[in-house]
Amino acid sequence: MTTGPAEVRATLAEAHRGEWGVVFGTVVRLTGDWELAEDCAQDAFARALPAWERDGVPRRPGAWLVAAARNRALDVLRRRTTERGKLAEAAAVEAAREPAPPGDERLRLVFTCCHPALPIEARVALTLRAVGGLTTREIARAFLIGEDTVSQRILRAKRKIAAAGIPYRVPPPGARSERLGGVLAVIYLVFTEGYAPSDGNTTRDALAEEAIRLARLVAAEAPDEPEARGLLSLLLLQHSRRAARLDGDGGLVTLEHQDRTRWDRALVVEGVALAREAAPAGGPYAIQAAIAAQHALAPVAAATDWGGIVALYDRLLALRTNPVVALNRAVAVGMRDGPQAQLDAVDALGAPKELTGNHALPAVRADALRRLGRTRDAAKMYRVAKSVAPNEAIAREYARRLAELGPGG
Amino acid sequence: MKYVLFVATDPAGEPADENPEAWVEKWNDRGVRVEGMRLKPVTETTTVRVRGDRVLVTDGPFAETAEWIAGYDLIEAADLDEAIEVAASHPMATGGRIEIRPVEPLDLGPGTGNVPHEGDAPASRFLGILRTDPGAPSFTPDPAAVAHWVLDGLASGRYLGGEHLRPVQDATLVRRRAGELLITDGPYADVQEWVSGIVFIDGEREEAIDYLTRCPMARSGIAELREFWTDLS
Repeated sequence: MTTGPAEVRATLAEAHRGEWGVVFGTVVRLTGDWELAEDCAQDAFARALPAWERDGVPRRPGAWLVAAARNRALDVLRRRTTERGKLAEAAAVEAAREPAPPGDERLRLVFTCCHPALPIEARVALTLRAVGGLTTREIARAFLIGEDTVSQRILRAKRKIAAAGIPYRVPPPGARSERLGGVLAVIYLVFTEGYAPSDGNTTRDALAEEAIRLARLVAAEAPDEPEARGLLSLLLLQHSRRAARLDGDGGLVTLEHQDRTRWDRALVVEGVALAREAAPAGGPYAIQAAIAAQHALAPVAAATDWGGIVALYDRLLALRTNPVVALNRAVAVGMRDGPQAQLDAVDALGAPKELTGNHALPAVRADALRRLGRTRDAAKMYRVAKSVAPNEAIAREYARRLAELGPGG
Repeated sequence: MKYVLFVATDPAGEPADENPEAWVEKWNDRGVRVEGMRLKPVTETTTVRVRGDRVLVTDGPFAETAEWIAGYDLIEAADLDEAIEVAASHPMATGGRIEIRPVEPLDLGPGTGNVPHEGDAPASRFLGILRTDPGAPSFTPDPAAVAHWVLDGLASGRYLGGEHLRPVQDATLVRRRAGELLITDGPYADVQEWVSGIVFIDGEREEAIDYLTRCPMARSGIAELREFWTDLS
């Protein structure tokens, strides 16, 4: 039975999104050769198109692609064997006819790509390439860096994996939780680059969605790790607000002023359910997810349970002191107890070096001063915040608040 | 895989009360640790460089860094994760920092291998630490000249062995701070002059210095002569 070309292409694109990591990982596991894996995975997808157009889409496209890549790897190794007499390698591939469960393959791959001995930017690039199947061009566009830079980072990571002996595996139980933290950090970094990119005012949904896909994968394959669910929940809840975050001119809309009917209900429902499961175990991501869930559950901003949110920030700060988290807590205190309490909470922070030059510190002060009616002081603080804003959208937001103060400012 | 661990000091280190002997025993018993020795303070370093016809011998290390190498260990580990486990369990991961460097086998021809020595008895009086020098004019040591230098050293008793290391891009740094294990990419100190190899040199200090001035790698890089603690009592 033949299939229409459009349908074949659609299935193949879907398989690329879903199966690239499994195909790539299979060759890495069998050969330990990351360059060969790249070559064989690309070859398998290239050959799938004509083959599927001719013979129809296979019942299990993923298994077809894995087999195609494995066979090519075997061919290459056989050729190398005759060249170099390395019989053991080809024998190992031959022996491994039985494919590993796809989930295991992806998890091994993601842990290896996120190994802490690799530079962080190399971990991000390699994870997106090897696990996510993004091309170097796509990664370069997403991070607004040159394609050469991305290629260099990926190449360096692959070289270090081989030369330094980074094993291709899920770490043993003793080290797994610790290493998982590094994996989740890479995924969160990919997400924040898509959600609040460092260049400013546009959100890159594709990157955020890729991060959610990775978080989903890790949460599904490591069900005994509440932090993995915590991260997935946090990403889903943040992503649920994407349509409400920007106004018509690309300006940021704060949580308080967002049109909550524009939040993605399906993501909210899933995110809240996950937050409830993950929160009791209480890692940083799970607690942040619980905070996001509190916002998601309030039908209007005024109905937010600020007392509950302050309590969650207290739990977060008990895990690790963090001035940025403490500043967010000060805002929640202000919402619960009024602007003077907010100002007191901000003053209690002192001037930690982590907040030096941070735009949020003067802005939070300014908001409290505005609500206290101290217009002139508020204006001064908004000007400071505006002068250190990291991008145009945020600077515009402070300019808007400044203008709203009216003549007294 | 073979790895060299550089045990380095760190002013930001934390007090560690475990003793290094227990660490040595544990990894020796598992057949992971091959050998290792402690070095005298870095202030006693002699630095050797050869630039063209000029031989530059100076007192002290090539650069004043807050962190300095206090010893080395050679291990044979299954992979980097095991090497990290070995490094992380060292008291100096807490009190200092440990750099893990994969060894790159270098075959300079017959008869140029390391001189076997037993256990932890210091095999030589000195350790030569070879570094790259980005400031030096580019110069590629001729493998034949290196082989000649090694064979010459073996004959005179100056050279007892050495390890050639993979580039610094393959280095991994291990620290333990506030009970947390920190694993990062990179060497023990943030300098351009990274360690490319180590050699074991025996004899009197003047003889060792003389031998290093003839080292082909000293023409393009920096050779530091460090003395081992030989009195281990």
